[in-house]
Amino acid sequence: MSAGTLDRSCRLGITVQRDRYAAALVESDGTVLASIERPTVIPSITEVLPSAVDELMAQAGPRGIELENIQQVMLAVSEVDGLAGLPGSDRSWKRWPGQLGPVAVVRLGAATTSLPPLAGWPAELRATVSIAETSVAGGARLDGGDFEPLDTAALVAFARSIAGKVNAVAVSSVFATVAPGHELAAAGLLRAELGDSVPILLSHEIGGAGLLERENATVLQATLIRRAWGAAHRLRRSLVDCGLSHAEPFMARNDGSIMTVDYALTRPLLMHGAAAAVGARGAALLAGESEALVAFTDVAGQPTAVCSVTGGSAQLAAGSTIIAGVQTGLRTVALVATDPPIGGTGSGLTQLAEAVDRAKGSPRDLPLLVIGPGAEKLVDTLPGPLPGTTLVCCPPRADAASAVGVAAAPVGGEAVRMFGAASPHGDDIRTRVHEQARAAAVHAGADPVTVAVTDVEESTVPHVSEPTVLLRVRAEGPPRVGWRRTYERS
Amino acid sequence: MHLAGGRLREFARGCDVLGGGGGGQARYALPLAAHAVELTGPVPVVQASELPSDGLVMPCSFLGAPAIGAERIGTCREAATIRGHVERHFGRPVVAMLCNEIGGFHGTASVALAAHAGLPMLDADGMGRAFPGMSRVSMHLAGVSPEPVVLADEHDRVVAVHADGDGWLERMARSVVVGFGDRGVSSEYVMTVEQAAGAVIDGSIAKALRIGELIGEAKSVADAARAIAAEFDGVVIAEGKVAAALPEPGRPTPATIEGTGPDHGRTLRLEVGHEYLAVVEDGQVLATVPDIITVFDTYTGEALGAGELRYGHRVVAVALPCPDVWRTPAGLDLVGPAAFGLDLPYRPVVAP
Repeated sequence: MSAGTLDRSCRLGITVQRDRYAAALVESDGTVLASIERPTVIPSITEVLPSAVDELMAQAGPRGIELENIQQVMLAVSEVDGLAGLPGSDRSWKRWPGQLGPVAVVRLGAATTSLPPLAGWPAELRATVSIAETSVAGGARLDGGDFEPLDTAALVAFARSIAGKVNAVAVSSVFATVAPGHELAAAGLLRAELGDSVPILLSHEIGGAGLLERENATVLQATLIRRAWGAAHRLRRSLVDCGLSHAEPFMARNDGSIMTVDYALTRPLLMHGAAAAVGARGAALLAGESEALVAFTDVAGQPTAVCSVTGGSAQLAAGSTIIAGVQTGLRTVALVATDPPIGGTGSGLTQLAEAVDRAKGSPRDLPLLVIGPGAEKLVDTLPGPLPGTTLVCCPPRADAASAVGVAAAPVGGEAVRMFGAASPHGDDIRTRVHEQARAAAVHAGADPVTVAVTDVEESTVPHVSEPTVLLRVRAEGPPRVGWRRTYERS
Repeated sequence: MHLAGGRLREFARGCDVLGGGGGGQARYALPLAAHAVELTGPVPVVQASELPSDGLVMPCSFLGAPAIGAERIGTCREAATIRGHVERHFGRPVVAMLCNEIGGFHGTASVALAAHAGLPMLDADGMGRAFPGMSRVSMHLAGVSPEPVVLADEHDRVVAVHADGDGWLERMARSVVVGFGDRGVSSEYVMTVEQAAGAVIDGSIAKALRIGELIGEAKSVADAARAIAAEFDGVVIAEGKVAAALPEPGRPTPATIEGTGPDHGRTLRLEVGHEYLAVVEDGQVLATVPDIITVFDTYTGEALGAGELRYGHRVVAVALPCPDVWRTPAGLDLVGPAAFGLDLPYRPVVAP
């Protein structure tokens, strides 16, 4: 391979949403070399990968691109519950085979019995995934002190009762986001009893404010971990089969950034809602508009939902996300469906105009970027300007905008910390949280040299007597390069 | 009447409507109440006439910062701890729990507290809606002594505050909550069943339930709003869209609602604080606190909290009359427009 072709490193993006998929080949400078959008009988990445690679290479080959030029493969799915085969989810997905769970659930914080672990879960899901739950003394207070002293004896006794019976353990703790010490100590004790082969997931690594939502997310992640391993294994095998063993695979996440597959293994829930998030990113990129609205379409040319984009990224909803009937702290794109109001009527353009206005967040008119398989059809049927928009456009390659978006996405990382506003160590803490955010992005697969803090949010926690600061720092960087193949088909 | 199962969901919807945008979201306390009822069985809702007149009625509610409560979710056994302390102090049994604030989170949460304390709920509350602060209750106007304030945390630490005058009580109680780490459960204004007659707002639980029922039966959100207004002597103010809203917690800020559909062409100013404070159209006051102003999202059917209001929401606004006690001169002093920093006259909502 000559130096000339190496310079032309590019990324392959694929998104799968129920019965359709999109794929794109994007050069590192952002040039889109090839793209397709096709139906699929089975929504599954491994299912669509071979034909996507063939078709894209047929388009890009004449432009001097070879498989060797593809350095990374970025993948996005629309929802994780179907893939994961969680009870009650859409059956059309080709679900990851293998066992769901079984897991055990540990909560550190005994005086939290108003709602014990899994108390609000759908009965079927709970019975499927969990064999035992316990709440033992532990946890922290807002000031970092002990909520209760950690009951190590109870932990060891519980560990012995579940040894050999579980595939993973989910551990959560009161104010783990302020002081994760008890979760780390509990993980050590559990590992000593259960051995290294049982993954132990800790809630402070999953993140999110609110014990229950963080705990729920941690348990769901633990439930999916074995299946996710299997899925990752098959994905890598199918990359090898497609001649892409040298390309590092990345998965898109809820906020429209990406993470390595290794990182995603213990955080499969983060893949939920990623297709919409990267779709919005792709639309903004293709249209060259960083402040805009994005309308998603179905193959018939009907609008399905609208979201807003600021700074090139989709805006996330303020609230939590329900996955498989369980409330989690995961934040997904604030998608406004084009459905009529409760008990109301309305369809087509009226409903689109209303969804646009509801998605805007301010009276300012913005460009509306239409993407998805029916984008051109929808734009063609518009009789004139749409209220609330400066223009309506179908950017080039709008049908495959989500694949372009995922191929061009940065790797993101976040760190959150609560601390006393009067703390004499305030500036030290800020510096450390910045460093943690960069480290989180690198951990998720960002290039360590160029990763940088992109967003800092500092707010006051309301109604707390001791003025308390909530600091949220986000870092982003391009995906790392030079990944060495560790996986060959024998 | 009992609270359990599907009725709890209806009750929570009614609590959100009576919150008038304040008091937090009742639906967030629903899992607590549902779990409590699963453990203890349905919570009976009783009338004062069914209770011994010298028995005690114990108001009880969570207090502290929501961000702390989201981590330290507590046991709800705090209510049982407080009940024991109250019974020892007064030397007689508590026969019912009183919900302090029917509007929003505390309405539903009080069901969980009652269940864990093993008490029925009196079909009443202390506000008939939601207000910030703990002294804006009808018991205060009726001259019931708030003393002692009994506070407990989730580790059965209990403090009873005895002090003369509201100022000191609130000051001491506040420092106890700080000691707890900004989260606890408290009881004040404990009274006899006899004293409660005329000092509490009757029928609040039944009212919230009935509102929830009407919402469940309605075909559309506007229909629900009309049915609620018709049954409770209120008015449907307008259907519209939020054309401007920039909520600033704790400070009254105006939002604009532009009429849509049958109300096309109308422009309303909505004053927003911790709750919805007033609706003004062309300089005319259509409704103000203490009457209850509720804003429904026509796409979700939820009553929108004052902090949730954003540009683009499609809404139906309704005003319901507040309990009579707040319309007296003393009541208006405590919770009239001026008490919330508004330079507007109080114009009671009157059914058309």
